Amino acid sequence: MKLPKERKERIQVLVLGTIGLAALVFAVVSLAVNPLLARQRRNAKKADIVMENLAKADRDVHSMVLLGNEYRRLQSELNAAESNDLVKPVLGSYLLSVRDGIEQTARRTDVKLTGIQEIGLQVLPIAAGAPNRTFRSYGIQVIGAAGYAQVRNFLKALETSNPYLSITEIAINGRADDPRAHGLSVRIEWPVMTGENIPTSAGEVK
Amino acid sequence: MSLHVDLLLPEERRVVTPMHPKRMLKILLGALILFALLAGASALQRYRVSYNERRSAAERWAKMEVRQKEAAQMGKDLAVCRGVYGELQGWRGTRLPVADWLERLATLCPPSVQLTELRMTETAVLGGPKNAPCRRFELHLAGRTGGPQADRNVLLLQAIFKNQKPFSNAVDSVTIPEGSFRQDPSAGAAKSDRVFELVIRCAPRVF
Repeated sequence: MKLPKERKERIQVLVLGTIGLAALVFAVVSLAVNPLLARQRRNAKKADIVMENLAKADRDVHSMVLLGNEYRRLQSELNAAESNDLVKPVLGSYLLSVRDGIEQTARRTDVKLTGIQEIGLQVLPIAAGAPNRTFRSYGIQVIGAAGYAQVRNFLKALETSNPYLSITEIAINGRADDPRAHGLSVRIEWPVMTGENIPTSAGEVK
Repeated sequence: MSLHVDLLLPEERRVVTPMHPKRMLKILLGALILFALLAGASALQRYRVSYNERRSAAERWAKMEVRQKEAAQMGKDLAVCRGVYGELQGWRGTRLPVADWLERLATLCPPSVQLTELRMTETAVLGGPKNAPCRRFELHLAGRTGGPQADRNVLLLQAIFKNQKPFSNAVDSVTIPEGSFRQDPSAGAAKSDRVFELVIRCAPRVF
């Protein structure tokens, strides 16, 4: 392009050209560069957030893999306790499910039973703010007569048969008519599940 | 008289310096355009890199999110399991080994003491540290002894609960209720025969 010959006109053209070019640069920067940079910043921010979440998720998954062993161990112990040690009702009656075991133990240890009375289900106290209990207490009162050693063997056999069974009351009274056979009254309690089951369907973390 | 003749028109004049305004202006304009192009290219490149990073992170997140949900579910289940297990262990931990106690009592009881009654009671209450649910066991013993050493025999029995395992680990206090150590009121008892009572309070066994 040839510039005008007149100096004044030439300066005018140059100034106009400069202004035009500056406007073009400004337009390019504001319409293309800045939006691109803004989107780049947004992308970077989003990527940072996702990366942070990824790191947290990675930690969670990693720790869950480590805790998986504990989970499996607890679940297995709870399942074993549920099938072997927790009292389950037979046709709605807890007494039916424990009576045979008590009578057999008494026969084996030479304790004469004169009665088994049901105390029933009881709720144990809960600390303020604590979640509801999974277990309630089911209790019975066993009445009979036996010598001190037989009573001891009877209680030992009961305690050994179930690690969660608790002997919560006992009364041994000497009898004037037969000093070798004491009057015996024992209260026995077991934990029973009250509704919520042990979780079994947790996702396996690979 | 001096005469000044201009052989060149003003626009035909040449400036030999490299800092000629016109050239400078060209360089400046060129630089400006180059700057604009470079800025545009750099912005585009940075945008592409950030876009790819974001896309790759989003893809990784899509895969990880499922596993994190599984992990979170497992965490919840584990917490429930721990709670249930802890509660169940509370049953095991709060029970008093009654058979062992009876066995030890039979072994350690002084031969000059005859126990006539043994009564153990339990109450489940909120107590212990932080007002947690716990079992409180209390053992009542009644018996008789005799002879000039009767009081010593009772003190000996009391000391067993304070000092001998397994009692000493679990017992809070052993008291002889006031007036419980007295002459045996039963018919046929000798003058020196005594009856006594012991109250053994166990430390709260927290669930």
